Amino acid sequence: MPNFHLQLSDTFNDYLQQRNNGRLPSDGLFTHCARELFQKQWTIMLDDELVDAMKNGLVLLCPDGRRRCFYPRVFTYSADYPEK
Amino acid sequence: MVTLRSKPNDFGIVRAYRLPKGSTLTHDPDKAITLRDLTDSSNPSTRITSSEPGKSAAAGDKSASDKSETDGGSKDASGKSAPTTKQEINTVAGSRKGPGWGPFSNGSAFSLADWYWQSKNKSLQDFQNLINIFRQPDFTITDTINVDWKAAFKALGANREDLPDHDAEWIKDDGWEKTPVTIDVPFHNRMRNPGLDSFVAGTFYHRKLVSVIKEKIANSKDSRSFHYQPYKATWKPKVPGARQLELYGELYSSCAFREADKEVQALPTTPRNEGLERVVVAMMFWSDGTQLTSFGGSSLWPCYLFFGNESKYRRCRPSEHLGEQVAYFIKVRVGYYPDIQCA
Repeated sequence: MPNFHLQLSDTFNDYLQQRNNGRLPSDGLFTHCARELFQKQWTIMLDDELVDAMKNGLVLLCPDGRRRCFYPRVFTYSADYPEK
Repeated sequence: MVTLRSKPNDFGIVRAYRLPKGSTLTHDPDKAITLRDLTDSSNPSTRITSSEPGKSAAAGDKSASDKSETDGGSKDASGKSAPTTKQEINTVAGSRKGPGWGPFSNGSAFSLADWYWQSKNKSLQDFQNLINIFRQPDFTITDTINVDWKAAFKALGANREDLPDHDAEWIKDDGWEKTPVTIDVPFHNRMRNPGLDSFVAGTFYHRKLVSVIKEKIANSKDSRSFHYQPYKATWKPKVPGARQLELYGELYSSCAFREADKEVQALPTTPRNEGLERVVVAMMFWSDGTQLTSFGGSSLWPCYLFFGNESKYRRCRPSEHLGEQVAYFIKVRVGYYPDIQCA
């Protein structure tokens, strides 16, 4: 398995301090960046291929030998979201 | 559209399907239910075990074999389970030699590796399973001596593009994508360098959702209980004057699913969908990073995909492996370091 443990806080803090004369900006900026980061990742997940399948269907061969046209839909999303 | 009503089942429940005119119910998972789907029996012979060479073991998920098997240990149980495994292997690969064994050069080596990954803490039952492997007529110890186990186990978890072409033929899925993520960070005009600046947040690990759906639909074991068409379940108590009641339980018998299905059936005909049965794939995302650790030491934030076309009773059983890992989100962790709060 690849290493998923990204220590973003460290690098993000360093980056902000470097950019801002050694001082860290407000909590509001962190909240904004966390949201941006989350939305960016979902934008990557909901790619053109999926959007095309949702709009125009995805024709697949099923194990019973029939071809069917599948339309993916998002029904639920149960998630935690770090507020800050 | 026509409504197709089932006969009442043993409990008096009637299912009503709304189907396009001229079509029939092509697939009825409820018909395929056997006693083994409804029991929690610890007898391994009543379980569907996946011994398919390939990615099932590749995830390195050692929870694959159910721990309830360990208390079994009876001769009857072990005698039954071994031939099933062997039979499955033979249908998958045809023979014990040649390709079809993933990163392993032959069936004997595969059997041993499969045994190793099936459980975390070896029990007496596992030991008996090992002896059963040795007993198989086509098992040869010489095939397993010169195997580079470390390399083969590493290849099990690899993506197709990580391996040379001839070594990666057995990998059927698209694997994990690695996408760099950049965010725009705004700095206000009283800061040292005002304006927008890009920050490279890291590499986002995720799988293509369409390829996960494709795998799910093509999987013959899962398709058996994958509901293509939603229905309305009703029940009428056997008392005079009783009203018919709608039953709520599964996503595929919910109003939301029926609405989505209605909308899809009403879509215009195109060259792509012409003459084909239209099916809603109900995606259910789930993620909870806080479940992993009690304190903020880990930044692992996984996202899973479940399918509402499958019964909740199967989805809730970890041994069924119905939750597909689709992403590991990158988090900005704030509040973990106290100095951020007072900045």
